[in-house]
Amino acid sequence: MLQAIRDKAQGWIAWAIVILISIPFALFGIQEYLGVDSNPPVAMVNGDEITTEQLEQRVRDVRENMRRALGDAFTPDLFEDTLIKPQVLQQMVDETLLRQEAENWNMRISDEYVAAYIRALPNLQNGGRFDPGLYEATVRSQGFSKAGFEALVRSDLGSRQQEDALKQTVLAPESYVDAQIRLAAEKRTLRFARIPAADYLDPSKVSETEAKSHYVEHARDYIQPERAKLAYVRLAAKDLMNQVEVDEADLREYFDVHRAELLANQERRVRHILIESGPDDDQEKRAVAEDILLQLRNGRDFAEMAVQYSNDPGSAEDGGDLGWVNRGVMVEPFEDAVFAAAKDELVGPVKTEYGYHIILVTDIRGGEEASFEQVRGQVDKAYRRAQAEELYYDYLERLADLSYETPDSLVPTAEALGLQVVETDWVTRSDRIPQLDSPKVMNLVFTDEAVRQGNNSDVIELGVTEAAVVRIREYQEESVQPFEDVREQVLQDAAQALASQKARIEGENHLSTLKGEKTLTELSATQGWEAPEYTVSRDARDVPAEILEAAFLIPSEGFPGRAASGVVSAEGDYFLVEVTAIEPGDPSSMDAGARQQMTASVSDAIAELEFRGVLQALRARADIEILLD
Amino acid sequence: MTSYMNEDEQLEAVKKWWKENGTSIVIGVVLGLAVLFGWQGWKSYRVAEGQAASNLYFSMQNQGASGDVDAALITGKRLLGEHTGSVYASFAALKLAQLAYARGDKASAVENLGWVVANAPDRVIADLARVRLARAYLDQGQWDLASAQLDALEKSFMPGSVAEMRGDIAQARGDLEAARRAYAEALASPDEVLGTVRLKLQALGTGEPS
Repeated sequence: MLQAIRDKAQGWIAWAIVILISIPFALFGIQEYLGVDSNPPVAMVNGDEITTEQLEQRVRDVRENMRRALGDAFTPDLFEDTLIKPQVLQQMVDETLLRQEAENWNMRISDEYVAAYIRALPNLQNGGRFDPGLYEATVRSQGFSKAGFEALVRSDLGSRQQEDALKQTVLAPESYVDAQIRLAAEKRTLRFARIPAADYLDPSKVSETEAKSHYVEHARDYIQPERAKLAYVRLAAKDLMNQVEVDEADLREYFDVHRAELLANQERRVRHILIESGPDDDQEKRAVAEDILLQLRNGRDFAEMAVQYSNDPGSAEDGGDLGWVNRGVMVEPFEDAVFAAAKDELVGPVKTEYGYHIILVTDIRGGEEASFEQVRGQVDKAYRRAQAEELYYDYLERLADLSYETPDSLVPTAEALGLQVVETDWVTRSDRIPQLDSPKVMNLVFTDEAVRQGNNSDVIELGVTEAAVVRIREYQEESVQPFEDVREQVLQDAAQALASQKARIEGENHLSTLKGEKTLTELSATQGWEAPEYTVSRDARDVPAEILEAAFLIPSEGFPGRAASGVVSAEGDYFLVEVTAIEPGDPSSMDAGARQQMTASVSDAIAELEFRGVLQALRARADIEILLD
Repeated sequence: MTSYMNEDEQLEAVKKWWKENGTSIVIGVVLGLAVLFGWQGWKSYRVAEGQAASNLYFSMQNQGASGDVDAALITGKRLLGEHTGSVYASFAALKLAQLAYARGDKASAVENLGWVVANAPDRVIADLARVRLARAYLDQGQWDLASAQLDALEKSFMPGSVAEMRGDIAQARGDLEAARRAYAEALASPDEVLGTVRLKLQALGTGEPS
């Protein structure tokens, strides 16, 4: 039989089969040589790979979590790939390291433990007992197999066990807690006196040379940030309303179709007289209101009565007139009364939370009773608005096309659409142009490459029915402004600096006095300063921050009972600071609950440090290669 | 050549070959199987050992968390005795030290941390125990013992916190200059440290008359 096979396996068919079979073998593994790897590793940790795909997945997860956590405050550029990728990768490297060590340390989560854990999961319980059917369904709905889910639980439990074993066994030494209390709850008694720079301010004393050298030394203060003069075309549905052509038939048709909406918008012109009442004088006020109503029925003028009696400061002067009102803006009993009343009918007294109202509806427009003629103005407006919106989308498309076709000018676009090209003066990135009120605009203008090169921007949506195209007319890089342009400013700044320096010299003279025998109180008496005493902790608010810092920088070790220091404030004033008492926080006076909290926070902090220390030690001995570029 | 033999001759040749090589082949196969099964056995033994220790550790943890400290102590002791070389025994000893410390039994805490230093399967865990041991000694004013634990650490282990403790020791011994240097070193270290270190250094000042 072998012979038979051999005889037959000679023809061209046999060769063809051999060649066909050999193709896959010849090409097998070729991608290794061509360097085509769709999922290259981004890091190697002791020989274990972290792949691009795994990293990307994690970055997506992180971003998604942040989006959920931050809500509207989330801005994508805060979580740009280049920023978070290295961090996420570092985290993944650490996790890999810990997993490898768990293996080396022969850490194991038994099947029984995994099973017991899953059985106890609250969302798999049905009537207080584990429900296998529910388990299967839940797992499947999350896209896992049971084995896959159990593996995930096992690895999760494992890493938690490891982290807990390292962190939750921490000691919080009492001496640490005491030290924390002594230092953090320390109080100091201080006085301070201010030597204002303003006392030494004299711009006329600043010479041209001094100004110039100030300018050179503080060039940073005179930087003009990058800026641009813009031109833009703005398209808004609102502005298109006048371009809508209206003919009577269309309006009538629109009225017929949209009758219901327009009726809902019925408005009434209302006058009222308010007699304020409280729980104590309710009956009394009701009688007052009824009396007024009676007088009105007897022909007294509503407006006059309102001026005389109404307690509503907003309307009394106007004869009780509230103007045109529609539903949904007034308190309920009042609104109901207003919309139930006929025109010119006196209604009341109506009780609301404010008191008793007497109401008079003087006019009605819109709504059921209105004929087309009565509400024509309203219909016209609504019709135009609707038409303008349609026009808007049509224009928007043309705006995009036209501005793209002639990228180096907005004029043809504007002309074709009947819009204006608006030109702005210099604006910087932090400026807001009222007509283009969206942070999108400035970001785009100063970052988009095409726009920076002088082309029209894409259409920028400013609102639901508002858009614009922007271009740069003139651009200027960030630059230090020429001396001549900022001369006045420089002169002032130089004078200020000089004044501050003089205050400081004066202050330091006094400081050496303070370091001698004289106290700040004595010195203040001769100088006419106010230097009241404060006793403050580190987080005090009633003393300027610079002074607080200077006071607490005085060493408590070997404190002689009085010490002085000086500090220049952000405004350039000089402050003399004198500390006369240092009272460390007292661990023994702290109540048990507060101490427990302190202990917990200290041990958490130590646990975190230790965990990082362990991680660092593991990293140091591992073979880690980061391949992320 | 063999193709010219008849069947008897072939049989004879096989027998002869077997006589010469048979023993070694049998030994080889048996050895191979022994190694294979031995390896498998060792692996499953190791897994079982790890799981048993892990289960014990979990129950100790649960006992500690639910407030049954006595039970936790017994389980912990059992782990130390039955699984001495296991990482779980070290974890248990760390936990025992913490429980003892919380009850004010500092001697027992020190003893358990010392046990970890002696028995931990990994240098890193021993170092972690040393750091905790040093803190415990500091707490009891035993500066020399604390200092000795710090000296025994791997040089690069938690350099910031170690410098802080050296500062604490120096200050307690009255060597303010050394304390200043140590705290400054802790703050300058790339390793993170507790916020109190800065306050400790400020409290000491620069040492120059102001």
